Amino acid sequence: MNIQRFFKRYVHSSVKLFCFFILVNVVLFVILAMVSVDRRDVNPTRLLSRISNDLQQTNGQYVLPNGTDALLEQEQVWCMLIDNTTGSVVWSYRLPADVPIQYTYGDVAEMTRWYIEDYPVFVLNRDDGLLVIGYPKDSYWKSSAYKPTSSVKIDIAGMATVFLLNIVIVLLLFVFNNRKIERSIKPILVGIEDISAGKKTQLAERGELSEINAQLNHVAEALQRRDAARANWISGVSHDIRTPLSMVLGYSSSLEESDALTAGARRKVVEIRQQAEKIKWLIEDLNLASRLEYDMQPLRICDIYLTELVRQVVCEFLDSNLDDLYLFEVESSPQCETEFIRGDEALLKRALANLIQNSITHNPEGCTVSILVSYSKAAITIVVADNGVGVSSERLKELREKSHYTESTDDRLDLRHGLGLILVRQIVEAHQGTMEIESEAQKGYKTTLTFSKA
Amino acid sequence: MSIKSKTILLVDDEPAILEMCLAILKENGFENILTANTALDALEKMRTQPDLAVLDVMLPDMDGFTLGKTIREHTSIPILFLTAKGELDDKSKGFEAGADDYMVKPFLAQELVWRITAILRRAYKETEESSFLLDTCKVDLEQAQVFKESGDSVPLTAKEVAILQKLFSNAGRVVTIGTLCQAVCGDIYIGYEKTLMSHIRHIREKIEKEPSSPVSLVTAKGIGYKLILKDKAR
Repeated sequence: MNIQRFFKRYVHSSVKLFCFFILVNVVLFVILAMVSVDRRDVNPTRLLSRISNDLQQTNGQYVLPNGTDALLEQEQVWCMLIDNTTGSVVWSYRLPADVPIQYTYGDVAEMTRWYIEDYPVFVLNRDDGLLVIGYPKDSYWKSSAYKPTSSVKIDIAGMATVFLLNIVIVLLLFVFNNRKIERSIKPILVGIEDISAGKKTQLAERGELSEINAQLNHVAEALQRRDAARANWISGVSHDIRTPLSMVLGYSSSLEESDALTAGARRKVVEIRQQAEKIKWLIEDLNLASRLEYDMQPLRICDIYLTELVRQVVCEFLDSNLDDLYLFEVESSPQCETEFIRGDEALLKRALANLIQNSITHNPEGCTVSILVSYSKAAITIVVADNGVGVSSERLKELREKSHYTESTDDRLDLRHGLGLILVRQIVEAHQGTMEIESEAQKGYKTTLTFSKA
Repeated sequence: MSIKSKTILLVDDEPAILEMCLAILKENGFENILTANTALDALEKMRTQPDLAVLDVMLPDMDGFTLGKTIREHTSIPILFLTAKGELDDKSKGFEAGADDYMVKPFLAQELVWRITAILRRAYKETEESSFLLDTCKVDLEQAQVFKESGDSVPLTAKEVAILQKLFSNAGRVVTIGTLCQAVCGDIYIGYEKTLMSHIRHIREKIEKEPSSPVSLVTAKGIGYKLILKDKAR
């Protein structure tokens, strides 16, 4: 898990959420505006102009056509016509009793703005007078808004400013909150990363997310305990196997030297001894690999002359009753003699021995193992190569990509060839080095270990 | 007194292992062997003053390292730790406890014999075997002389003696270039391999019949050198 990416994604999604929030607001306002708009066909203005059109004077009498008076009925509207000069009502329809029939200029000025006896009224100026329509009480809200132009300008600018300020404040709050969350979550993410990498983890159990931290510590501890138990178990088993194996190895190798044996019997004893030695290697590999895996193998770092280390390892092979089928060549440039790296001698020896042992195990017909130590400006390289049977390209791919046996749940995983190499990789990685494998069927097998210089 | 007549004390809580080591050592000519099952027993047997102690690290009443330290308080005999504990951190503990060598179970019979022989040779070299027979000559390290079959004798330099000493105490096994150099010069330095090669060339001129095709002091190319004693050639 990439922590940086996690927060980037979090910021992205938060920005998207914020935009969504704004959009929803805009949509809601538009809908509200659309709903509240008076969309009836007969709004006061239209009704006024219709009545004014329909109201005709015949023989000195004002008459409304039939359709129109029905409409007024339906709208519960009353109306009247006030004479321009006298101020008295010259015509009315459904006029409520509490509405006066005589008006002064002042009355007219007030009614155009407000109400007549709480009836909301609307007016239209005609040649022959002022046409007034009134709606039932409480059906319309009238207002008369006015403001200095300068204030209106300030209002508009202020509203825009407030709106922008709001956005800024929201963003700031959001960033602040995000920082806060990031601060408290980051250690947790780091902790989870450490746990999944098998490292030791101890989070501070305080702050808002202290419970999660405590839980994580708990998990890490449980995992650590389990790992330790597993490593101890492997170590215990390998310890218990050593004593019986000592007997097998000791007696078989002693029998091998005995003159009393026939050639056939000796061959069998040699086979027993060789197989017992294989078990010994396997147990050591298993034990060491599990200890390295669970960080239980302390490294004893000292200066190591790699060339000399290689010689010593090869020496051990030469002294170990090895078949004459196997030849060794060690080559190193004179400059390498005094070049050293910082490392754990026993572990590095084991890595080299495992590589040589691999070549021997996979080439029962014999082979030449050549080891080349060379160096460049920044690194020392050890190449262990044999001229044996090599491996197919599929197998090579497998060897390169194989997941660690302690992490793999693949039942088909073939450990018979892998453990030794896995240990080599672990050891090299513990020294911040790299391992490269090259091989081709029938063209030998080559491993390159590279370490940076001390 | 030859090395084979030295007294060896074997300490292990596993009777089967004791029996096996006993059998292997007897087969290889060691005559005086004491065995002990516990640390207490071992300290008791120490009164007979053995010449070498082989200690198991896991004992029922005391751990082997403590036993080793206790033994060291009274005597300076060589100690070889023999243990089933393969963890490498035990190694330093063993050497802190005064170990001369360290062997991890399981081991091969020859390895045990070889290590015991090597330790005894190192520890008691002044009392014996400072001379040895090669294919065509006898080398006496004490006198720093090579005695040829013809009766002539050739002197050896101090460095040559040091090299031969190291090769002799590991006779039959390859000794690495670095080990030889450290034995002679004390440290590894640029060009030491060349220096060593010239020493080896001089030694060969003195001990080999045909210095260009050596039979006693042979080269393991790129690795080191091996001294082959007469009758013990393998």
